Amino acid sequence: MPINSNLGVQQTSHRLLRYSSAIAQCSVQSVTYGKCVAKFSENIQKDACQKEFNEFKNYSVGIETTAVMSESELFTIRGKVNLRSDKLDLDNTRILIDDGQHVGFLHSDGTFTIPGLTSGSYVIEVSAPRNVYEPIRVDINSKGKIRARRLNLIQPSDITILRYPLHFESKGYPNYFFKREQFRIMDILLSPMVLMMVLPLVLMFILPKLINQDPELQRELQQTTNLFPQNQNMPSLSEMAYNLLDGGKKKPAKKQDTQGSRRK
Amino acid sequence: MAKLRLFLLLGLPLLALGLFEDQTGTYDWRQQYIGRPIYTKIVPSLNRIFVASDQNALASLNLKNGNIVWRKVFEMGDLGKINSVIWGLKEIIVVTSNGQRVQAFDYNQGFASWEYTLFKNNLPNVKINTVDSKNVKDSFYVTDGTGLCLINSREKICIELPQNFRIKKMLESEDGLFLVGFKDNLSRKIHYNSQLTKLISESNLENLNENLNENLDCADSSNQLSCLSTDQFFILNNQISSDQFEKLSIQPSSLGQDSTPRLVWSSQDTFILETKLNEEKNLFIFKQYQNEADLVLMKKLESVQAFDIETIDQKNYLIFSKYIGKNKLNFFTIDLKSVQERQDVMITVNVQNNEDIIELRASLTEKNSKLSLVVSCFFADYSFTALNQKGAKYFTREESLAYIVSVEMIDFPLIHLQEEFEDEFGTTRQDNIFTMFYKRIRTQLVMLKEFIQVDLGLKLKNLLQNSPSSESSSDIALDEITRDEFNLNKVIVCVTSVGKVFGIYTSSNGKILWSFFLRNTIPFSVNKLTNESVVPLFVQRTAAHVPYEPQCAIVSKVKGRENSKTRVFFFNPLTGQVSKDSPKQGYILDQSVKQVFLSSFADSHFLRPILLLDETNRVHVVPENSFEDIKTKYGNKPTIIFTGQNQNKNSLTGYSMKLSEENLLEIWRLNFEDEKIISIASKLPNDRIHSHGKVLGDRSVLYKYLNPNMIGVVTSGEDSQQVPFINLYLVDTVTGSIVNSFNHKRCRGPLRIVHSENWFFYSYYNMKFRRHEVASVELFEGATQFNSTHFSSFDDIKPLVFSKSFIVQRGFDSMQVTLTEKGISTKDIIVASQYGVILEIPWILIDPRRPIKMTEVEREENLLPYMPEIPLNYEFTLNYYNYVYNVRGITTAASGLESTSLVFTYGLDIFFTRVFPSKTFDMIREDFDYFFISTLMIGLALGTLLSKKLASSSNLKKAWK
Repeated sequence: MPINSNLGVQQTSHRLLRYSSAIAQCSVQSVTYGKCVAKFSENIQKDACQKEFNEFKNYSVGIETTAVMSESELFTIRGKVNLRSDKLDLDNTRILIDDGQHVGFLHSDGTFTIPGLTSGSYVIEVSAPRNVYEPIRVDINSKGKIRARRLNLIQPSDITILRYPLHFESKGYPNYFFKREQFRIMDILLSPMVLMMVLPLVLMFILPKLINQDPELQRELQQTTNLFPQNQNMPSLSEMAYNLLDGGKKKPAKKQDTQGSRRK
Repeated sequence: MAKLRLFLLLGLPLLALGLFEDQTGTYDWRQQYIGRPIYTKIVPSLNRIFVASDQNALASLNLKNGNIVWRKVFEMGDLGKINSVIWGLKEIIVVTSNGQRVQAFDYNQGFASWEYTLFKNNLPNVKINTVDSKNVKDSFYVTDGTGLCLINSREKICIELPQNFRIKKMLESEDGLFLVGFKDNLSRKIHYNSQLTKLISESNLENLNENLNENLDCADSSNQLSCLSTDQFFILNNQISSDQFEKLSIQPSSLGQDSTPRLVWSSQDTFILETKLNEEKNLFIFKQYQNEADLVLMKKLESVQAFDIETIDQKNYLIFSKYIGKNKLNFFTIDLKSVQERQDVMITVNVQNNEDIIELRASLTEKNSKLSLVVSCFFADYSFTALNQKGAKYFTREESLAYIVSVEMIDFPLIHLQEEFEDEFGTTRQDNIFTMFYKRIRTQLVMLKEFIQVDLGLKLKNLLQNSPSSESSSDIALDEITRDEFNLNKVIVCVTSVGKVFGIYTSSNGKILWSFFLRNTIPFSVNKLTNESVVPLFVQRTAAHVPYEPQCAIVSKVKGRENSKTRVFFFNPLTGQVSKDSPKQGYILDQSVKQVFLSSFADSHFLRPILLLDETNRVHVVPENSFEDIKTKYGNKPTIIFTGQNQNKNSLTGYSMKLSEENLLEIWRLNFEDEKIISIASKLPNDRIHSHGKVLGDRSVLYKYLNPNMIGVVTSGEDSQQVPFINLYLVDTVTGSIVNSFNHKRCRGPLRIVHSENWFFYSYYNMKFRRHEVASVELFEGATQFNSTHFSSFDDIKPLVFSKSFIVQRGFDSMQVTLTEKGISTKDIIVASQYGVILEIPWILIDPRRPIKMTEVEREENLLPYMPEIPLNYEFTLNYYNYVYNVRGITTAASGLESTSLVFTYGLDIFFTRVFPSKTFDMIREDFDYFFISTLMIGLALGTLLSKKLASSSNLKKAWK
């Protein structure tokens, strides 16, 4: 709040200053008004010099407002956009200041100038259909000094100065689209489900064959199994599962099978 | 935090269903427009036509087909307003934003070549005069009335004009630049040298003062100043080098009955006057012979539509157009030297619209002493056409589509056999069993025939042509269009502020099915400041009530004295024809109305009449014959209607309406003392609510506060320290009570707000942090529901309020919420921004219940943790690289598929697409691999058979062992 009220005081004092200079400029009217007041100085009444005062007032207020208008000087922002060549973008790139409050267009060499800006803080964005650019915040002070910095919406106090004249570098193609999933053999082979199926197959079929081919390995394997003699009392895990699932049905099924084949 | 970000980045692509690259253009389409041309130039040698429009666009069109070659869209509103265009030799020079800025563009590709500020004072509605300088190469004189500048690509030389000098005319001769105008009721001529460095002379023009008042009517001519004195019928002519005017008199009788002629053009000895009588324009060509004081009438041209003057080799030609007979437009060319008609340069063309021509531009080219003519016409219905000499149309552009104000999407009838069905089952008393049997057999035979002809025929045709979509093939006949399987194709009825109405097919790239032009339409002005206007459009009856035709109504003001009359026009939205048994020109009401709405009840013909509230708070029902019907339906129960926005825009009033009584009864009034209403949000009339509550992570239910009478009123104002703020009031329109309110300090518009179900979503600009923000508000009743069957505004419910605000990268021009058939899919927000993109923001990102600290229950519910910024990813872009500018409105509609919502945006460009807020859960994806799945199935089946056989044979072998 104190900052705010300070600002208000500053503004009013500024305006008062302007009035004094405006009054100084309309000397003729002020003199006539003064003369009029002097004439009635003996017994002055209300509205006696109304006409003169009105003239004086109108003139000075007029000057004051023109002073305000000439005070707001207009500045120009310059910069360059580094375009990846693309027909669509050459035609459709627009430089937006504060969400389209001002709009600029590219020159054929990629530079741009945007005139007609009063002092203040602006966000400059490049709207290009096939290129991505980072927006930049530009501050213009009342003297026309221009400073560019990275736009940080979340922490406005965090300032990273960028160079001026502005330089927009394309960050690549905007990804409007999702990639389609494509059918590729490698994708399927490398998927975890397939790997889970293939590995046991390898273990089941290829490993025994390898062992059979290599007598040395066979011997080694036998030695290792001898090192840990099997506990006869402990049932093997596979056997347990087998019994649990359909161990009981095994015999009749076998019988049926043999019967069936005999019939044939 | 880093983890969250990662999660978001990974999670986001899953949220919104984006587009695949090969889907572009399969169901979405865009059409680009320019608006009404105010400056046009035809360049036949380049095969181009250049246009500067009142929609702040500068464009180059291909003369042969009317396609946009390049287009530059300036700022919206006054800043981008094109004040003047100079068609230079190498460049187009455009003066914009009330003379504050000058820019140059090259003809070929539309690149800007230079720009700078011109005049400092920003005078609204300034008139810019320009002259192409002959003495200084590649330079132009520009004046805004207070200053005068000589500009070229490198620099500007500016001087100030004398104060209180009102400029009338700027002329250039070998001696320098002359300005003619008025100062203190005296006409003055000011002479500068060509470089504007020296004021050579300033003199009074004696002759002019004696005879003329300020309403001087001066012609647009090159090297002289000619003015017409309207009350005394003589022309004052001044060769610019002399201070004397010569008086040239005309016989008043030669001009006919009209006493207010206008001098429209003059050259050394030729003068063209225009008179208007009963909307009919007549042209008179006068000539001066051997410096005589009396002018001779050479030719009188009657009922001229429009004209243009073209100069080649210092010969002037008048080209004018005229309707000869119905629909036959002729263009004639007159050599102004001999005042003879050139028979070899004439165009005759058939036009359907038969409208007046607002602007005509002609271009004559001479080749081997043979003239050839190209003309461009802009008609009163805002269609823009270019014609060549043979009378062949180069193109026709419907520029009124840049002025759309109201849109409705209309379903097609189910099948066009429905009438037969209706006939079959809609039994009358006379029907006996045999006639009914006959009807049934007949209907089924017709259906069989239809099936063979249409369905099989189409399928066969497609098979033969090997094209998957039937819509793309050839033209569509109106009566052949029926609803497709999923009701995805509809008619978009667009009403423009011009008065032209279109029916656009959502498929086949937005083909115009029908259009008609409502003459003398004046839109209702909503906001004078922003020039916002509206022509309300209502759907009174849909296509579902066969044998009744569907019906729409357009309400507008009618041009006339004080524009106080109101017109209600009824038409069939599927064919664009005037509804049966309704007046051809619509129903005219003599009063001006302040509010229009659709009755909530339908009459006995399933038609919902329109209720108009006039200035004296009386209610009119249109059409009148349904008054009794709805009166009984409304009964004696009062209905609450509210009208907002009195003159000062700071109060809202609720009235109770009884159709049985004449007058309205005021029941509540909300006064916002120092605040102005800037926006009011209400639910879309076809907003569907699927569930009354939200299931939380712990399987309990949080009931929504579903108040059907709630609206959101946004006001803006300034506090005691002149800091602007924005307030959102949630108002119950039945009781006039405020359910809740929200205040945003140091914030201002542009404000956009949408309301659906139990939530509001709005955007505003935060001045403190200088960024755009959005906020969402959601209201709940709590864990229990007050009354599960019925909602009453008088119940004492204190809703639980959740609200969150977020930072967004840019502001929004327009905002809308998606609609689906049953409202099961989530409701996403569609927004359009100045950047040119249309985005779909997923609801999950703007959910006000996004927790700052995540609990287990909330994680179970799939809420995202709160993040201050909503990243507007490029995947959200619905229109990908087809950017659209200055979007004024978005309309959404439900389709037959629950997952799919149709989106149509309008502004300078129009764009249509489909969105899938919860992904396409009810459709097989279009890249679904039918071949793969079928080969797999067949392969598996074959494998089973084979292995069975192999197994049995191996068993046999085993048995033999």
